[in-house]
Amino acid sequence: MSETLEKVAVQTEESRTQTRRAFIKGGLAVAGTVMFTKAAEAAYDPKSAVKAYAGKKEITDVLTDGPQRRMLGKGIMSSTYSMPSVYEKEVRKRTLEWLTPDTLATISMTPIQSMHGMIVPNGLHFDRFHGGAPDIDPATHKLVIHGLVERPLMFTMDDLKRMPSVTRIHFLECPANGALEWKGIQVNSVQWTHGMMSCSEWTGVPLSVLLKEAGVKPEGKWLLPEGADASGLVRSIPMEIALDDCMVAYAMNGEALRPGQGYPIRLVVPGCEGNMWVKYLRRIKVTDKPLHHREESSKYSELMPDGTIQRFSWVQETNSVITYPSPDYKMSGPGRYVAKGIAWSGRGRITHVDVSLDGGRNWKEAKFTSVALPKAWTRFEFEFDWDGSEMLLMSRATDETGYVQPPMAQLRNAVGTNGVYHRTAMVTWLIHDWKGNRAGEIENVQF
Amino acid sequence: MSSSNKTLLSLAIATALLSLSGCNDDNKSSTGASSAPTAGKSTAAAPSKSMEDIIIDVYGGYGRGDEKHRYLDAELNAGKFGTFKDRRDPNHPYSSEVDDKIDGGNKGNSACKVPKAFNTVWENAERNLNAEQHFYGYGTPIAEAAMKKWDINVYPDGEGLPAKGVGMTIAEGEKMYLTYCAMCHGEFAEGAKGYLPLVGGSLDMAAADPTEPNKFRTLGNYWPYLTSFYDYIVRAMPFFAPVNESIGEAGYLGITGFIAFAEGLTYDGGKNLQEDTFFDSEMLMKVSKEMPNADKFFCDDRPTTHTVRCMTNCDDSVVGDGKGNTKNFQRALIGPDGKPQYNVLQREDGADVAAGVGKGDH
Ligand code: HEC
Repeated sequence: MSETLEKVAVQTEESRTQTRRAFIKGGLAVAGTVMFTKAAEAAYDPKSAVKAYAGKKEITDVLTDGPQRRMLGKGIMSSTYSMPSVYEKEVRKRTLEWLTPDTLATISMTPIQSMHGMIVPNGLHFDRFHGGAPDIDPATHKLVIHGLVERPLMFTMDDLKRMPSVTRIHFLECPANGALEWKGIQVNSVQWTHGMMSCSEWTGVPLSVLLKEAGVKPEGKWLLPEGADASGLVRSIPMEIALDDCMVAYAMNGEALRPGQGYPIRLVVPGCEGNMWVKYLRRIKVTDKPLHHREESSKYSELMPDGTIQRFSWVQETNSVITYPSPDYKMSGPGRYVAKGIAWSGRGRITHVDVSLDGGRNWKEAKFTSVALPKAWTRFEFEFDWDGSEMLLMSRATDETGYVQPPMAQLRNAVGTNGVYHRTAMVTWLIHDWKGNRAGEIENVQF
Repeated sequence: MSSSNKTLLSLAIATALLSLSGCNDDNKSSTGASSAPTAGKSTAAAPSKSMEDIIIDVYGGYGRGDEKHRYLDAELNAGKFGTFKDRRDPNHPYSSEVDDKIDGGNKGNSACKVPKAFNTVWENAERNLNAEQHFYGYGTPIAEAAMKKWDINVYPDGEGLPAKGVGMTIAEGEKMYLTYCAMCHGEFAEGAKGYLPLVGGSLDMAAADPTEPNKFRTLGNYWPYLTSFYDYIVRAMPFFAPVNESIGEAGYLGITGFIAFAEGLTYDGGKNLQEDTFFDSEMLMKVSKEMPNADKFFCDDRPTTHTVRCMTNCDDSVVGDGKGNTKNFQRALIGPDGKPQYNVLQREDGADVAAGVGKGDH
């Protein structure tokens, strides 16, 4: 941001001087004209548009109509729930069969390389199953809040929807995102390197309101939310995180949760491990101690090089990735490129994204092309000129806590390669020489 | 009346605190925003604050030396890093370690906490808890006793376990295991057909060389409490029919005993379990006190890395391979055709096996 700040400061200084000069020259009316002329001169020369296309062959064949121009399309009710265009078949969730022996306890990945904006559509949200996705009837589903509360309560779906609600945009990420590549390169798409993640708009009841409704007691220090599905998954959530910004969500991106995302309700724990966002939520027990469930001991804990094991690693740390150009794409010759990507942090807002073209020696600040909301995807773009020679493309995010995304070598030195979870280091795309036999290919490499 | 006054007052104090520490907070951004137009309006006189200062006031001054952190307390943040050892001290701001041991101090059975450095989490929680609340009365009261079947939590201190005397011998437990578990986890719980092994991992999990393959994580080396194992298998196993009444509490205890036996776990200071050992909740707790790697677990103390946001001519330690070499990168294995070999399906093939959208079940 320091560079941006400087730019802003300089511009303000300039325009202030201009305005003052205009005033001195002859009053307000003139000031307007002067400023307009000045701006037009500096800003736009239509003739420049021709230059960029010099040497490209002009199309002279007369364009003819396609068949769609001469016949009618489908009727208004041909689909009561719209599906993507038939030409979008490649944009789909994918899984890796070798990850687990069972399709009921595994994960699918979001095609991050094809996503635009801050929101992943519901149909493309990655899924993590621990016992398949059940179909739960909202008419019979219940949520019970009990344990260290003055008045244990049961809520129906109708009850929950009558309560006050809140709507917020947050990313949801499996802490195993990136885990395939602790020991080197295995995969060749952002879908595989970062696809255990999505970003959605969530709507639900603030958890603090529900807990207070039940009369949460001061000795209640932990929350044990549990699902109604075959895995009966539980996590232990400290009261501070629960009261901060959690919610019991019934909607994502404007409609009911999808069955793979916990229909009819799930816990939303912004910025924290996806595993904590318990789906099919049926019960929240308030306790004075954590459960140490399997998902906070045998799994979702990180083995360190010295054989010690880190547990309760709730927060998803600052991270970023360039989605274009990335291994799914090819360069189309030397020239100007607009690199696009996403950055996110479980601790709050993203404040900077920097891009390096030389393996991390020098960096330039990218610009944000979306709002930077706390614990949400932030979109960035960065323009560069490619001269056709080999290039290393990397991005590095910084969040409002001042935490800077580490290079892979640094993370590996600190935590080894056996942790499985929380590999949030930078990734590197190698752009092949335009003259070589892999001209323009973009390869996933690792420092 | 007085309560809303109190709320207002505490909000004012909170706002003051927040602007001091420069925290990220909704109330605060409106305070911050109001200062910008004021500065803008005073066109005649030279603005008392530069645009830059205003932006720093509102957004915090990252990368400018005078760090004002909006999320972390600046003072705590200043001391945020340090060695692993430092951070495992409960008093370190980044430590989530706590002193109170929930099972009387046995084997680091600690609860963990949100690190002090995450000050906005603590402040928001406090504010939300004390914010005025209307009680809606939309829920239905339910007796704790009505939760008997749902509440199957078993905690490391033994709360939630079946009564003493419910159980079976380890030999009987083995029969149960063979009936309900072996088809997936293998006859000796060694893992089969890609399903997880439950026993046989080495106790020394250290890996000096980062290229060493991951070690198997099994009951003995990666579960700090046997209670967690029991809790999990009742809750979620056998995979196709969990909370299984034909296994029952005695059966689940027997299976736990058999797997503990197969893994060579001990009780009462190193005694071995035997085929004819009667395995009930009392025995389970004895074994749980001697889980070999329980004291290896520590509470999350990240961040583990400290990188500065360097812009030009960065230090070798953060460039390329960490020694400044940008040519020294790893690639996928190169196949005979000279192309990299990836552990993924090709796009075209992928279409049919991919989960979800392709199958038309949006
Ligand atoms: C149909 C195959 C199947 C059967 C039968 C089965 N399991 Fe499992 N087991 C699984 C799968 C799949 C997982 C992983 C689940 C997940 O990741 O959510 C698992 C996980 C486990 C784990 C967790 C291991 C770890 O490292 O975290 C334990 C313990 C376990 N099973 C014990 C048992 C016991 C005891 C039985 C018999 C009562 C049993 N299983 C029966 C398939 C099976």
